Amino acid sequence: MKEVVIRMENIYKSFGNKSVLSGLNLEVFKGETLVIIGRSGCGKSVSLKLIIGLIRPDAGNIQVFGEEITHLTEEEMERIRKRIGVVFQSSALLNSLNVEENIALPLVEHTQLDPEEIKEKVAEKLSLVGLKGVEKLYPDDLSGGMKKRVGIARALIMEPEIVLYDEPTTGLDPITASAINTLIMELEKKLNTTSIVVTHDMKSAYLVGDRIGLLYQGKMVEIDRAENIKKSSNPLVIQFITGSHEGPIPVEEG
Amino acid sequence: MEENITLNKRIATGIGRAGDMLIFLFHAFYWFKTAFRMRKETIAQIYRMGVGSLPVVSLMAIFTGMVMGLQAGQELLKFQATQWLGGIVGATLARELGPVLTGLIVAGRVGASMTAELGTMKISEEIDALRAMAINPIRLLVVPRMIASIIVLPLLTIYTNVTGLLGGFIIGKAQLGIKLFPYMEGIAKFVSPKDIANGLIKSTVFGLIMGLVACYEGFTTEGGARGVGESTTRSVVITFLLILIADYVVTHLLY
Repeated sequence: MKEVVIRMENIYKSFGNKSVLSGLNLEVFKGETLVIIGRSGCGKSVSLKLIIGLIRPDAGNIQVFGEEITHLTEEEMERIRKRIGVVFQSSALLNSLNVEENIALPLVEHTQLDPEEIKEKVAEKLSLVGLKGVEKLYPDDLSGGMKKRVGIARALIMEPEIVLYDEPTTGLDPITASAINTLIMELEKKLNTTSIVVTHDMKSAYLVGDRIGLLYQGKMVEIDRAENIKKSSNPLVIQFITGSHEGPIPVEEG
Repeated sequence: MEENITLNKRIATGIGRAGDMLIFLFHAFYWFKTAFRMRKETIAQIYRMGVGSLPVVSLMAIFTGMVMGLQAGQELLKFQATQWLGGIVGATLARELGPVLTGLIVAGRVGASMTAELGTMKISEEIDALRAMAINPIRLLVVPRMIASIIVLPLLTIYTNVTGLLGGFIIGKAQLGIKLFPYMEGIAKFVSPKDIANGLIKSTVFGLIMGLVACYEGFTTEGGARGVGESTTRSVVITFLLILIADYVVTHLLY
């Protein structure tokens, strides 16, 4: 039996009157890359935020590294968060800091490393994501793809055991998107971390995913190895992966 | 009936937000323990708020002093008591106008920009990103700004008082022919150390109000660019009202 690093049990979450997750169950195994697909607004990003405790579920249990996190305080939660890297959809780089300061921030805050060592580590992570000579640029000077790479470098700086990617290719042109996909795959091989990638880009899902799960109406309707998902007979899965407006999923919803 | 429901809802939301703001204040106070660690960022904020506000505060102060010199001077002339001008301008500034006007003008400038900055960070997920990196955003963003507000407002108030007195003297000399020495003597006679101290206590309270409201409104911003606009407006309006209310309360307690 493979080791489970994240377990979500019967999660319910709603915002105001809008129910987003209703009975979500999910297990993520050590070392795998799980891709969660689903329509915009179906609760994919919410699931990621629940895992790092940015929001709390209305009901249900979440265990990360074997520890129940739903009752942890903000300060206790930091222990877990230090072991997880998050790549945000908007990259979420701090606008007032340059690239180097952005990537170095977790090291400056959490370690006693001296400036030279920090500089070295930043350069190492930048070369890992394929960037060079951008240390002194500010986020506003970067293209979407570069921002994404810097966001990934920042997520990796603390050498996390889990990396969460929130729509890593959304809003990028197809060539940049493909480069980011390749980068995620390479990183998985090199670093052997556990990853969750949230996306609605099927090309990306097949490329990076060991397993793929479809989130629909607040539940995981199907979760399986990528090759089995391609052959699935579930009409919801077929409609989603073929990208058709005809089928059991209505267009207006979501 | 329907109007009643929306009104009740708005009152309930208002009370809820006031409670939230109080909790936010306690969180901020708790993280004040890291003030020493955040000194570099705090000094940067003090510089930004303080030096940045000097031009507008100077203009405000000098014209306030001048208009007081003009109005009070005319009246005093009738009683042949123009030697009191310095005292009247000085006491009014130290007790009341210095702290309040500085508070309002700095809130309009600095408070608004703090809310807009933090609000933009909130909607672009930067604050979430900090939390995800196990960095407490209150410590990193709120502590330096609140401490800087608390330090900057009294300093600017002293500056307003001095500049205002200068404005009063300019008019006193130009229109009433008052000399510097009697003007200063009037200040010494009417303005007690207690007036100055009380004015500074007031401005410290106003600084706390501005920092708290600006940071809270920034951190609770939602809904894109429109949300940033709304919270910035709310930040300025609430700070203005709270400064005027606190002014009364503090005056009542001090005198």
